[in-house]
Amino acid sequence: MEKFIENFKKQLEDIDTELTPDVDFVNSDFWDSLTAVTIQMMVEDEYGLKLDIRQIYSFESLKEFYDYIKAHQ
Amino acid sequence: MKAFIKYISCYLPSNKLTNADIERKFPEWDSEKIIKKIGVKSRSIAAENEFTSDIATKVVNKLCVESKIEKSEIDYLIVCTQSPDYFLPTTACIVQNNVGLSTNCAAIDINQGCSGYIYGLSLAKGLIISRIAKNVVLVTAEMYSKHIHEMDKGNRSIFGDAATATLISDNGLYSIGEFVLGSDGSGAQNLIVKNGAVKNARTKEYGEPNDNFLFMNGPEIFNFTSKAVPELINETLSKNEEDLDSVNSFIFHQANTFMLEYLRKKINIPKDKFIVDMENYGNTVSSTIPIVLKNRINLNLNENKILLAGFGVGYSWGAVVINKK
Repeated sequence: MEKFIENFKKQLEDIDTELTPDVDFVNSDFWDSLTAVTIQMMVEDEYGLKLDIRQIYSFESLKEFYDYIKAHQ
Repeated sequence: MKAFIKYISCYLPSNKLTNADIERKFPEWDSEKIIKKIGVKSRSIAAENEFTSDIATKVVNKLCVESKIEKSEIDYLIVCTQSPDYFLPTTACIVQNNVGLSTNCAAIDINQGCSGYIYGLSLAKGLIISRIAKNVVLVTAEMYSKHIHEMDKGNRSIFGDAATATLISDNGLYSIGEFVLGSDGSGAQNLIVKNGAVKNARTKEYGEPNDNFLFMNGPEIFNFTSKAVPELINETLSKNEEDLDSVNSFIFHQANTFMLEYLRKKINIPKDKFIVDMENYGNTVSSTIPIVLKNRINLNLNENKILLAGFGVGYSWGAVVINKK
């Protein structure tokens, strides 16, 4: 989970953004459709999983997102 | 025998579309943040009665004045466009007549987008080296604004209209090095104007953006780019026996600043060598690279080796290293 948060942070404009597993990233200030695309590519590069963008928008927290990746890898 | 880029001229239509204009038109859209990430402040948009042959004619005339080449010396005209005046004849023939080029001048259009300048240079180099032509003029002239639906705020924020003309000859400023080129039509549907050509007739529906207009699947294009471009750059460097250190600057197709920054980081190109210059133009498709190159040449920097890379619609891609004489 920690590694996932690190990978996630690297895609943000401000890589020092504070993130916890509970964060509702889709409704955060840093989130937009361009960020969504880089997160999609990060998941594909790092976890070998090609997600639909709409899928990414459905997660309510980073933990839920990470659990989904683990379950579908 | 080598081929050289001898001179570049640019032409921008006088109508401008600013971010303030876009924000006024789409007040419900939280555009400020996205537009900032795209990195464009203003775009040139062709007038309603201004067409590709018009801006191509203007830029070739400008090239003749600025570079002092006689019109009679131009013996090959290539016009790269995806918004031609007609299905036929080729826009280049109309431009040949408008400009008053010799009737001994060959004229042909090529249909290519964001990689069009690189493809055009590769053809021009071949024409010079094989001694088929002495002075090739490569025009990039694009008006995606004619393809974009009025209410398509995303694409209207990104794209601008422009034309450039490059004189390629057996002497000049930068010799044209080795090319890497490629294509993958499996991505054809991701950046397309589906209707209006022979296969699908233009329909009468207008209200919302539809298949009569430009469609871009941004995420898929981004995905393709992030996979294809790093490999393209590595292959181009090795084919030209260069590396990230030996090249003075990198001029990529100016798609949007967000994507450029993503690619720069992925390839590990130092920031000071990576040129981003699209704030006042937007993504002008095949014209982005020559516009940036022209601006760099005007700055009189001592840049001996420049890597040029184009990629996008098709999909198609290409890159080359140019060397100062």
